Amino acid sequence: MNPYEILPSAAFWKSGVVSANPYKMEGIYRKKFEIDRTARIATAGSCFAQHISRHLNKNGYRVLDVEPAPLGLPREKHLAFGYSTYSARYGNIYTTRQLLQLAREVAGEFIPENVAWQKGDRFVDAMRPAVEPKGLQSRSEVTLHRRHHIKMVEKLFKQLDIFIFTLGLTETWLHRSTGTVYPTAPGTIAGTFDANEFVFQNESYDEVLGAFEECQEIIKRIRGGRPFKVILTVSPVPLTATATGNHVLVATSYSKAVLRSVAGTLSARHEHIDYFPSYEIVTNPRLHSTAFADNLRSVRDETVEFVMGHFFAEHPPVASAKDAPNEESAGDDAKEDVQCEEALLEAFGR
Amino acid sequence: MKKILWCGGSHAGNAKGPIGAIFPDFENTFYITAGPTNLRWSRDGGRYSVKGSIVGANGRSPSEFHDLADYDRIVFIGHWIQPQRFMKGPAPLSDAVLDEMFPEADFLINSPTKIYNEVLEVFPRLAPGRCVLLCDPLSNMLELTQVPVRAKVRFLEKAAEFCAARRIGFVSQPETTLNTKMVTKRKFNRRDGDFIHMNDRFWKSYLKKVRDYMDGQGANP
Repeated sequence: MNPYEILPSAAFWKSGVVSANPYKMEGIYRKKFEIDRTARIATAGSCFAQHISRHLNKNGYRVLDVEPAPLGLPREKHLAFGYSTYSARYGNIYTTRQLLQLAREVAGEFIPENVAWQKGDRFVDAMRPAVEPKGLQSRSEVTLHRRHHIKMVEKLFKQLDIFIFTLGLTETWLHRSTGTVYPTAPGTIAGTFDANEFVFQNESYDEVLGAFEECQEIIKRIRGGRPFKVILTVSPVPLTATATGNHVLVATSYSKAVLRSVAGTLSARHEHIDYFPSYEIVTNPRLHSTAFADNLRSVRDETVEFVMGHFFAEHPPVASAKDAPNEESAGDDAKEDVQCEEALLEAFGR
Repeated sequence: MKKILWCGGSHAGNAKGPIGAIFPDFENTFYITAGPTNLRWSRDGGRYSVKGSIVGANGRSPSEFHDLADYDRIVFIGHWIQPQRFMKGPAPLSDAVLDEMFPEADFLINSPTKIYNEVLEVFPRLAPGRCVLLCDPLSNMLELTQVPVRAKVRFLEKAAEFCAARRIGFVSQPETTLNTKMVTKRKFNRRDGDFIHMNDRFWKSYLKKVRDYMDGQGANP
């Protein structure tokens, strides 16, 4: 008799991985809590979080969108302008430090430095450079857009019941004197790189963990102490490039190991935090990297389908619980119709 | 006597009296081409019967036909030209987003909420140079009031460009009827709780501008 004899097949590499169906892995995810069909879900994080957001929506969950696209913007243009991607128009939030900074800005505890980056004769919000790919007219327009965005994120933090966050990177760029953190290096999408002004930082386990813990506290404070639940995932997408000086493969391993450890610690430490192992499902050696597209970075659509299949096996799709805004709009339309018909009858008597 | 065909829905209904006052020397005919019934009919796939320059058989009046060749002017009053169908609330909108929202080619013909504005597409083709578009009064509902002024200005600019490309005359509502948020002043509301329909004073002011525009164009456009 030994302690391994009584363990399930999922506990053994051979039966749990080598001979298991990688598209439907038994016991790889056991939910920690239920997601109520009326729960208001917020999503954020690195690009893999986009898939989670989309699939939750598709399966009837109530994913918040506090900065919806204007009605007149064609659906196929939403992504290009950062709409309908996450619960707010914050673009990719790669690091916990970036998330913490956003929460601090919302709470009025921090004002980021050097927000408007120049791109030709236009300007972009350095904190979310991809949401306006053509840039804005002026620095003041960037400020105006950002002020609205921060107000909306505050609304999001107050409304959400469950926060789904995908941890993406440990490498980041900081404004040397103020510590303002940026999602991209100055000079890549916009802005100009000045080594005297900006500094590279590769976050440690303690820094990533500490930033998330502090962020939770700030969000809770913004909510007047009302608790919320968290589901963490780690992005399986490797780094495009590293500024560490290490080989990109080594840098990717470091980054993912740290993020995965932090997610594990947070999940083990807190009852309200669950970890969904999308990272493990995608990087399973049994798939021989076929989960990725030819660039060995992008996750294939069909991969996302079966990854989310594991999620929905534990959190089954629900009948749509989307309510308030649509019903209100329908009510407005009906009222408008009655008013229009009345005017027609009055004028034309028919 | 010159003849005008006034096309629209509830706004045309509200403007009927003032039209008589401002255009007494014209033979004014009304054709209900907008309104909720026609909108539902169009959404359900309803389309006008078009034979030469004769159009008709819409959802509201299946047996009504008009020969557009008989009219000196065809004026669209409103006809679902409503910025609130494109944008609501205070979110700032960039130039790039607005450009994508209002493509010159067809944004007033195929609009959000499944509007196919067939009249605006077909009638100007059958009566080139004789059509005039009046936008819906800018509603003073909260959701449109909150929309940044710049976005509302852009909407009207694009509407004017749309009309110019189709040889449709474009007459926007008089600036004196607008407040600083670029929505219609509340004193013009037709009744309490109705932020869309405007009173006779409003329409007289708007139609006076239309009359000036037409007179400036000459009797025969």
